[in-house]
Amino acid sequence: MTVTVVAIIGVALAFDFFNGFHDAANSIATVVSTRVLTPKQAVAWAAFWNFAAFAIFGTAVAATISKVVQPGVLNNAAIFSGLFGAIVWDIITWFFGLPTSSSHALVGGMAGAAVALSGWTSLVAEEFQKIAVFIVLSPLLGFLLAFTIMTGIFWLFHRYHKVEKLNRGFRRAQLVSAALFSLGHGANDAQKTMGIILALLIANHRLPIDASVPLWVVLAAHSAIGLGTLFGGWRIVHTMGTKITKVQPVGGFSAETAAAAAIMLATLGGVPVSTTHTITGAIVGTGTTQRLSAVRWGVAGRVVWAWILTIPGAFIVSYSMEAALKRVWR
Amino acid sequence: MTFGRRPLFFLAAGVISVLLLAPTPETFWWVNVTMAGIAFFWFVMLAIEEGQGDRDTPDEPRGKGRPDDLEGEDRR
Repeated sequence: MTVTVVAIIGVALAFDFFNGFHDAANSIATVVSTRVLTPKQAVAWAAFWNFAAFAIFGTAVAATISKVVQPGVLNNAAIFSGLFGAIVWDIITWFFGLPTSSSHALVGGMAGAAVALSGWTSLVAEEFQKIAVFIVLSPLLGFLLAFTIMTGIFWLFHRYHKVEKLNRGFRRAQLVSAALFSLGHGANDAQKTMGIILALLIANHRLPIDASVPLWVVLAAHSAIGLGTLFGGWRIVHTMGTKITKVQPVGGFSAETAAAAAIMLATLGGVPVSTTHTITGAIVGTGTTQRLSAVRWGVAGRVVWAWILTIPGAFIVSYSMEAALKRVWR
Repeated sequence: MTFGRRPLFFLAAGVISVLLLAPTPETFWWVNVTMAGIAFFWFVMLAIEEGQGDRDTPDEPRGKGRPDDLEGEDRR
């Protein structure tokens, strides 16, 4: 394996690490804001389940990511540029405390690099269509499931007037829902990096074009995202856990369970979805069971704008990087 | 007949799910259909609830006896 390939794998794993760092908030925001776990306990819990996901889910999402660009188009410089664009976009949004999607940054980044290298025809329309549809569907699914679960809980426990007792019960249940969500997060997000490394190994003829993801890549990607979660980003915890709507243990349980179900469904179907979008939709869903005004729509709107700008933003950064590299190396 | 914001919110979610059927790959149509079903179900339920003027509706100000009683929790 050449030094370049090893270096780019290092960058891809660094992206995965930063993905865990950036998205740690999604897994633990509700657990921390409802004081079920301390921040340190919560990140350790989430990191463990991020890693454990490798044993449960396949690599269908990795296959989708590796097919976003036509086979044979990407070279080492383009893959590096794609990762660079995604990382830069993640850093920008992390700096402003916006819970945007690392996944869509990666897709936008790879697309920008591929277009700079070989034009628009290098993109596979069907794969983009699948990803684009789920940009809208995944938060909506999280929203609907969370509302349904939360309303179901209210209906089941409507005679349960001891608020503290009920919330105490859901404090414990939240450990399970946070674990489920972290499993889904690890499974879907780690596979995006696996897809990039798979594309890199195929581009360098280290693997045949129809190869599946090698085990060492699976383990490396899950380790990177788990470690990233362990060092989690606290700015976004604040936005997710308190600013969108105030979350109680019963709401945290509903939001995490709903988001976990939506993400696991997408993972099994091979669709790379944003864990950030999904949990945000679910948190809004639980807020809506109280009243629409419980949701701070100004903050939610700011988040939506950051989502809309993610793919174009990462696309532009990667396109510029790839165009500059082409000029330097020509 | 007029609806409040919450039923309309779910109606919009259902309509979006149906509209997205066209660009969604056929293998995932069941996701759209399920989502639309859930959204329209809650649209109808919330519309009925509003129509009845049920005092227990979650749109009412929270009391202390609800599990999501934020104000009640805060006071403690």
